[in-house]
Amino acid sequence: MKKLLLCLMLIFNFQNSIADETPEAVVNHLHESLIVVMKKSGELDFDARYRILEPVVLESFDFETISRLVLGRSWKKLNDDQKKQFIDILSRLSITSYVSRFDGYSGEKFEYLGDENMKKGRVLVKTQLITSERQIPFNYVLHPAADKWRIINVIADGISDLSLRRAEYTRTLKTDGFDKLVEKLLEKIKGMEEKGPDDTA
Amino acid sequence: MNNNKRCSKQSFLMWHVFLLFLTLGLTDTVFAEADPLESINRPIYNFNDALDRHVMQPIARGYTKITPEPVRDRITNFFNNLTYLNVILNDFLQGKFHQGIDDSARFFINSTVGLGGLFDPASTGGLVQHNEDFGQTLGVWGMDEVAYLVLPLLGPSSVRDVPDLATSTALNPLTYFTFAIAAPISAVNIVNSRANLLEATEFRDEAALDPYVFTREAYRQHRISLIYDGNPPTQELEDFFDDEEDALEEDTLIIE
Repeated sequence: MKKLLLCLMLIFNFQNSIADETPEAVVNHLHESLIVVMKKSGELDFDARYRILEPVVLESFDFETISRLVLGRSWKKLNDDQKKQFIDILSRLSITSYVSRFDGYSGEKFEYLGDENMKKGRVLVKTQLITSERQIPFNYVLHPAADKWRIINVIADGISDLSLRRAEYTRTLKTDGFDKLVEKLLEKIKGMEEKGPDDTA
Repeated sequence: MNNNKRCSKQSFLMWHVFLLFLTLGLTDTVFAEADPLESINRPIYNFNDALDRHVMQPIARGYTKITPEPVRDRITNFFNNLTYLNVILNDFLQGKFHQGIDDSARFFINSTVGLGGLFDPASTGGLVQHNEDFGQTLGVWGMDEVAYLVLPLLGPSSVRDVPDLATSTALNPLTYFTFAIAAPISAVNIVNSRANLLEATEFRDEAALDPYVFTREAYRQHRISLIYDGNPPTQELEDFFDDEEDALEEDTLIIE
């Protein structure tokens, strides 16, 4: 009986902690991890930084929904294996992009600016990246996924990641087909991995 | 020589605009990814891109190597200041009177105390730089982009953004200097502007599957963001989901 109670309490606590995590907290956690990785870019190689960011990005984003939105009408035409493959590649591409782009630290910091409610329970979290030169707006659209708030779009400096990817990917899918799209995305991942941290300065 | 060049550039532009109006009657530009002039735009994009890779990028890279960053910042400030009369005009055209007065003060202070715009004491004093042009004004007035354009040498643009070429040229003091003075200064401007974009094009090369589509979408969204001064209504983002959800629902209906 005690055990059962403990179990119930644990479950209740667990669910509670999910509900307690605000959209702002999800974004802040991602930002904190990015700053950590930026600061360590001198001492850690690409793979090590990838391993740090991978779990954070995977739990912050809803790649299944993102994949569905990016491919729009074409999504339904893919079979289950292709869908799985695409979600996997898009996740890897996103993590690789973060590792490759946030690869040095010179005093940057993220600042939370506020929330805005959108339709269907979505929330827009507004932040900015403050660099020595300027402030770059980073806005995130989050939606209440099954388990927690998850990011489904990033709007960096006014440019929506979802729209950009949709325009490009659906075009490639239409003209070259799914296999070619996968091939091109894998090339992009490889290109960023090979660039290494030293060539970017 | 210069006249000839200008003439051919202008006639090329005229030809472009002419073709545009020819096609407009025939195409429907309602949906978001419409690009009715793609068949004309793409070859021009490829031409610009080849010129950029073989000529402009190497020059811009060489320039950033030999010019220290503080010097490049001064040069960027100077050319920003030269475009500022156009910013002020469009502040007022968009009904931003307060901003128009601030920007006038900014232009006056930077042109005098800031030594012709090389320095930016106005920003230090709280008069921040704004980004306005006639294309944005037309957007504020309710015009949509009509069609995406790639201009020879000048790059991404749209029908809505073409008239700004006239106002920004007419309001740039450099236009009224003789060729011998204006040409070398313009050359510095072109190289410096290209150098400022090196990071952005590296990002494009790293991320883009189809650089033409990537540039088009990035340009469009950047322009929308500028029209709303960096704060587009969330409806701009909702439209995307609405489209997608409609599409998915439609598909479900068809399949079932």
